Amino acid sequence: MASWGEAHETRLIGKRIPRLSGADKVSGKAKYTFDINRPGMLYGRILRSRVAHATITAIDLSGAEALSGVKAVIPLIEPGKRLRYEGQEIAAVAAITDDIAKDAVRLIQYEIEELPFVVDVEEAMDESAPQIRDDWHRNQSQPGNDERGNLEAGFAEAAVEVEATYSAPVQTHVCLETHGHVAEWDGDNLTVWASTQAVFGTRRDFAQHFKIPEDKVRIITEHMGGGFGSKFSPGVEGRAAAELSRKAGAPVKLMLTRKDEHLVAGNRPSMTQRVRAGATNDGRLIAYDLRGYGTGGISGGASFTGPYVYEVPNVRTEKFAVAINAGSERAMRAPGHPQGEFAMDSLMDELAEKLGMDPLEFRRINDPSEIRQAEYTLGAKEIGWHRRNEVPGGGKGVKKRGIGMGSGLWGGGGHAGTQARVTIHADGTVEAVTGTQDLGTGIRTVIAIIVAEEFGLQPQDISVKIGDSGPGLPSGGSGGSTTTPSVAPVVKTAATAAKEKLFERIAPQFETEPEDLRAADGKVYAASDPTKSVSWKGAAGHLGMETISGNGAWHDGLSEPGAAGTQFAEVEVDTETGEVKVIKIAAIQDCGLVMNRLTCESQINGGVIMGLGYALLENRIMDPLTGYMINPNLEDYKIVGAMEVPEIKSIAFDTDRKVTGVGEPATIPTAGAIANAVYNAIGVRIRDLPITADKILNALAENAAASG
Amino acid sequence: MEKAKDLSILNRPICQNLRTKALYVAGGSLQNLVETNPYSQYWCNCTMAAVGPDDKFVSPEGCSRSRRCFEPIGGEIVA
Repeated sequence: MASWGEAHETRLIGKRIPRLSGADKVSGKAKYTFDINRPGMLYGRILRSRVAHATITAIDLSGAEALSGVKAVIPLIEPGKRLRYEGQEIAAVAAITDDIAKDAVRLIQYEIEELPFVVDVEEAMDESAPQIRDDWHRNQSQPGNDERGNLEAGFAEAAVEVEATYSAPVQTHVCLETHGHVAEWDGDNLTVWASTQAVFGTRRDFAQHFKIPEDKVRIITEHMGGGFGSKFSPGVEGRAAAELSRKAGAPVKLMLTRKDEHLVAGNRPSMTQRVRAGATNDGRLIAYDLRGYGTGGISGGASFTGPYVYEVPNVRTEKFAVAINAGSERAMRAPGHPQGEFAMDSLMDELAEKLGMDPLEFRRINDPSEIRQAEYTLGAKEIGWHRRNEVPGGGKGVKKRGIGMGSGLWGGGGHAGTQARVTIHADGTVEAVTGTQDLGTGIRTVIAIIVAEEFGLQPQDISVKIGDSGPGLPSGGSGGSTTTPSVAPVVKTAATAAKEKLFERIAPQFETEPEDLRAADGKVYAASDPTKSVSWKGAAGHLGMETISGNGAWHDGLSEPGAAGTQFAEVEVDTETGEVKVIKIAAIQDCGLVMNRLTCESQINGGVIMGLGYALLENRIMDPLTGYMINPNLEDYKIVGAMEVPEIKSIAFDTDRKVTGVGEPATIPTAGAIANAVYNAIGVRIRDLPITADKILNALAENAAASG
Repeated sequence: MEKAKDLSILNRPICQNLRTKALYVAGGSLQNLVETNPYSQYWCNCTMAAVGPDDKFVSPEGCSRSRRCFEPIGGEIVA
């Protein structure tokens, strides 16, 4: 039975291995889709709606078509159909320069009949609001309901209750490499360089869309600059790039602008929830009643977790999505979880305070996860939980410090569906090929580590070929934190198969059985007589003119789902300016088996940084008068920069020897931990994200007024 | 935790152009196209957008034979 072995047996797995692509990335040698330039390539641009809601009645492309340098113009919507949000695609052009393409977009004429719109979630639910979706009533989806236990009896048993409203705004996707493609046709064959997190899914989508065989489509994603759930489908921009390329008979590059990204490339839905919850005198969470909603623009999918992490026996929840005239949501790093966590962990602290109980102790009583119980101990020690203010806001001075915590859980785990091949050449070189893609998590390096571990080589000795559908070795998209747990077992079995074939081939040279051979330290040797050895290159040399390949197979026992995590935050709040500075985050994250500790910690760091932005900065602001997003840039839509990054102590909590995946879970607990730390610092609770200076100052002023 | 859904698979035709994230991820199955997942967005592979070629919204419940753009997954099984 295949296994990853014990920790003391592994030389590379679990150690800190620098990314193989690191030097290429920092030197600019790595080629992202944005960097691809093909001979004769044209530049694509999209004309987008400047109104939030309208029926398009006519489109005239002739002005753009007549402009010198323009090679193709296509409509992306037909007259009679509806524009439902600012930024929706109307038409696209391809020209010999980007400037000409931009000029051509301005020459496209179209006529519309404007319709009433709504971009405010509360207004959208009003009976008088314009209806955006024919399949929903009053812009509301069918609610998802959950009911278990006896809510009334639960509240009757409760010694304390909290009733509160928690909310979070829409968070837009901010992949540093914008969405985009370079499409090139050669007869019926289509090659697309795509910034995608699903190479094979994208191949299927293009093939099906253009009604051509899948094997005539090749998708290449050598490197990509982030996806976070927003880059599974080619999107309208991908479809436009390929259609323009076919019409022009030339390659077309079409990358979205930063403004486009905010408007149309997806977002994390908002969340508003009214929750009432109760706990018993001995600290048991006993009743939980929630009604909540969120908006994913014109799309659904705006649900969120709640109750979350902690056990509640008596529950009633009702959640629904609200449609507004704004771009669709797309999956975003742990969909639904950060919203739910912020509310749940805020609620937990509020209940604990009413009980007069330490919030950590209250969580210990209600958290059924043994893993998180152990993580609580680690995290409390790392942050210095004993230093927190016993009386929230009790610190002295203008700048007040506080400590808080939050928790999360995620599925992850691996699934069958990946094919991989590991090849040993006669010169000793090794190739590992599979159709996965590295969306930044470091799977390229993980593959090299696994193969090098098996062969007794170094990771840089392994030539890893991923991000290309050409070899025809499929793999799943990188979503749900499934990449490493899905790919690693298959690569391991491929490497093992190749090694066994090599050993069978050279065992006679050792006058021993294949089972007696081992690979370590760049050599192959006989276990029964370690003095008998040959260099790896020498061993491979016995292949002569042949090569050996091992094909991987899915193996259930090498990965598993389930990732529990907790985070502790220390913040400093300036009570005169309202500024919140995060001093430290201690993130303790269940990872299963860590393949590469360095990139694992990087993922935890990244998750914390994204969670910090969600807690303190990010906020899509819609103008109710125009229907426009008024901050579609990175000046007014703030994300975390170097100045905001605190000390992050990322602790990869290795719980067993199976691979789980850690891309998403580390972003979940951050907002709740920071919100609770802010409360502990100033004694006033902010229940609406992001926690900005104006909210802090207003809350402090209201608190001061109320206390006379 | 959300209550587990009781999903029956392939008890009715599914449009081959209906998409959701789970289909792209290892382990994602057609089951994800049978009933709307409240955490997920749906889109159409013809338009690559939230509405289909008929300008109506797509969803597991909404994409049915009654729509002129409907293209069922797989071939018809004939006796």
